[in-house]
Amino acid sequence: MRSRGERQLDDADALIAQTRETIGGLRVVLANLRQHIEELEGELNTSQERDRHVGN
Amino acid sequence: MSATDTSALLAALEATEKAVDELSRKADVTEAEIRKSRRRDRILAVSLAFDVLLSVLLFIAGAQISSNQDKVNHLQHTQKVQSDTTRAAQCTMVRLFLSIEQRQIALKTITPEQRDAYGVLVNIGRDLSC
Repeated sequence: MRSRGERQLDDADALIAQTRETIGGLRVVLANLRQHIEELEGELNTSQERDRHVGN
Repeated sequence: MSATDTSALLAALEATEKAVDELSRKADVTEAEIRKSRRRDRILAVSLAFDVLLSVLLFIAGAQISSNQDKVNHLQHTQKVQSDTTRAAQCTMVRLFLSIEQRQIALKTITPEQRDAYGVLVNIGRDLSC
């Protein structure tokens, strides 16, 4: 039979594993966001370039 | 959306990434603490088991010493009884020979050698406190 302290350590381990999973998910979301922002930035640059050509 | 907006978004994204890195670092530290706690618990458990074992061994050793002490006491008592019995037997023999001497003196059959021998017996009897 596990003691109270051991059970608490098991709970803490489970929480850490859960946190790591969340961190992994967050990293994926952030990477996607970065990609999306960079795409947007690219589109913005292209659009600005086109506007300049039209202005000329 | 303007270039300023995308820069702000990227800055916010970087700040979030830093926060995630910090969170990950804290998770590492917490995990190390948990490992340390488990190790400490194991050491305590081993130490407790060792203490219990030591107590049992000490108890067994104590019982053995007590038993040996009883045997020593018994042997000492036996030795004293044996010594008393030997002394009593020797005294009885001395008294027996002295009574023979008395009879020989009464019957006038004692020789000088026997008288000397009985003198030695008297000394022996005195040494034995008969």
